[in-house]
Amino acid sequence: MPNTSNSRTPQTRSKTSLFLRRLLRHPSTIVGSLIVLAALLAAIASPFLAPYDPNKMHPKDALEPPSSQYALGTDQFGRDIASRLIFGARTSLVVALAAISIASFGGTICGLLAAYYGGLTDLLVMRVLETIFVFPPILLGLVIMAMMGTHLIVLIVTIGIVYMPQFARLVRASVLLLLRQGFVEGSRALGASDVGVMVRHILPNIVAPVIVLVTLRLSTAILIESGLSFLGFGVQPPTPSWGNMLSSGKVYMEMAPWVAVAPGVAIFCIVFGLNILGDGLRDMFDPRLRY
Amino acid sequence: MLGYIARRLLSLILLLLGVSMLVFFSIRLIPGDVADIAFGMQYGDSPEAVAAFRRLYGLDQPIYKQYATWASNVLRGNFGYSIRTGRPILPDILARLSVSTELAAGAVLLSLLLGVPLGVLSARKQNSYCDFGIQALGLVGLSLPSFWWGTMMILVSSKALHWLPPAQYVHFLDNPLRALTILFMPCIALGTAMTAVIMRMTRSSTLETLRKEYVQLARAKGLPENAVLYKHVLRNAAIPVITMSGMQIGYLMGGAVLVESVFALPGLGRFIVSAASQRDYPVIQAGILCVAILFSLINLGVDVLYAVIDPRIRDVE
Repeated sequence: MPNTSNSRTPQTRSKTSLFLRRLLRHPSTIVGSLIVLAALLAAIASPFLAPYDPNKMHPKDALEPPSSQYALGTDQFGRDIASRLIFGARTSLVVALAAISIASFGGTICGLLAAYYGGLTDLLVMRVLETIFVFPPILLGLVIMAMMGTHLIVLIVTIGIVYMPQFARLVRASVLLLLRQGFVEGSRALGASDVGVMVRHILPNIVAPVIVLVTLRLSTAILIESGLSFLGFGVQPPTPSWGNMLSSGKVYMEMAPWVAVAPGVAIFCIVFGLNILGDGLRDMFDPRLRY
Repeated sequence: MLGYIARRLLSLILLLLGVSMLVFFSIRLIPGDVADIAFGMQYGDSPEAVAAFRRLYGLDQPIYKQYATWASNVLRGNFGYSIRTGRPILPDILARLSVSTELAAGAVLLSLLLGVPLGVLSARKQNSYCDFGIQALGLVGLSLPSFWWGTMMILVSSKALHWLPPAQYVHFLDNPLRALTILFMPCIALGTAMTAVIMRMTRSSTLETLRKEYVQLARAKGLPENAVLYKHVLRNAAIPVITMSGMQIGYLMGGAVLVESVFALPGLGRFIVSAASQRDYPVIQAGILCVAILFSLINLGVDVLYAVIDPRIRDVE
């Protein structure tokens, strides 16, 4: 036993460098990573990057077109759209990251327990999750938000719950495959506890598909958040979110198209970046799917 | 085959039981008292009036009795009454469902008509510029937020073409041409993402099938390439595409919420949104229950279709 843990460290390190080298080999994956990194940077450093306070109104400059003063123009209250976009990145990414953390964590535990213990546990856990699965995500989100009120925490937990079943299904299927390979039985025969087997032998082997799904679901989580905010059930104004910017911009679209164009382009870019990154990661982790 | 369908129906009934419980009890998650919230907002809140309201909606009964009453009413097609308009809910839902169905059908049709040929083309010309172009388009389609894409279509058509679709909705069967002018842009907005998904799925599934030994055998027998493609490849490649389409229809019903709001279509999605913003709980409950039932039925249909095409599936479960 001690042998395996000793030999694992250098192996993981070389795996990491191999991983990075393979990641950088695909030009599209690089583009994806750059877009995602740019969005992360905007989210982390928004107070330093934004030229204006996102909520500061300049009533005299309402609905100004893009100019040297306001790079992307202003909205109906004269707020700087570029600054609101940068702060909006923070809102969208925080919501998406927190929600998908909940979904992947909860889903992994559910899927792992269901597959490992099987029988009644499997039946109960998966049936309950399947029930969530029959509601289209945005509709379920809408209903929960309407019931529980439109707080940011509710939004995060809601999106987390909505995507939990997908992670549970994926993890369950991967664990079932692993269990057939015999090494789990082997380590149990050596006296390992259930938790030990799960943490040391099963989890490390299912990390890759979970990471791929995390990347792909982050993009849909952003779409759901902006969609809910667009409908008025997500992030509430004046907190800037790309979805609520778009929804308020839609009213003034005829006079000032830039108000509605900019947030949509931002959503598109980050979702596009996450999608190509997710595709690249999937190709790397699962060579069977690469064609 | 019949046994398979029976098994699936049984699990569907269990699923719907769970769904109905979830929908029913989720209403109880609302912070505060439903009667106070729903009633107080509208008529003011004298305690007697609230008590009468609670009796009327059965809210003074124990919760399991409320569920039983509600479920037996639903089974008899009585989805209750809106607490905003006082109208029975089911006829309103059915009227709006037909709009959403037309929208979804258009989007599905579009995505199959475009997605499948593009996917096959992309697979046959693997690693060509054509393939890369189609794949890039697919990624773009996948990343376009439907509500923004729809908004941009309205913007461009009104600014550049000085044309906007007629505001009054007409059903397809009543006036196909007029309905098409109304549904044209919403269907594109809703169907773009699904087109991309179908295209990607068709591509990878076709590529996978092309590598199978039986395809090589068919070629070795001297079959012309087209015959190989249609008889051996596409039939097998269609299986995952069909499952994917079924699942996508569920997402489509969600996406319809957004697209209907953008284009102001009187569909089920927008009905649920307006019920949600008015906190019309019986309507929300009934609306989401209908969507879940529809989604489960579509999935059942897809699974049965799947078993018809691929006999191996029937024996697995």
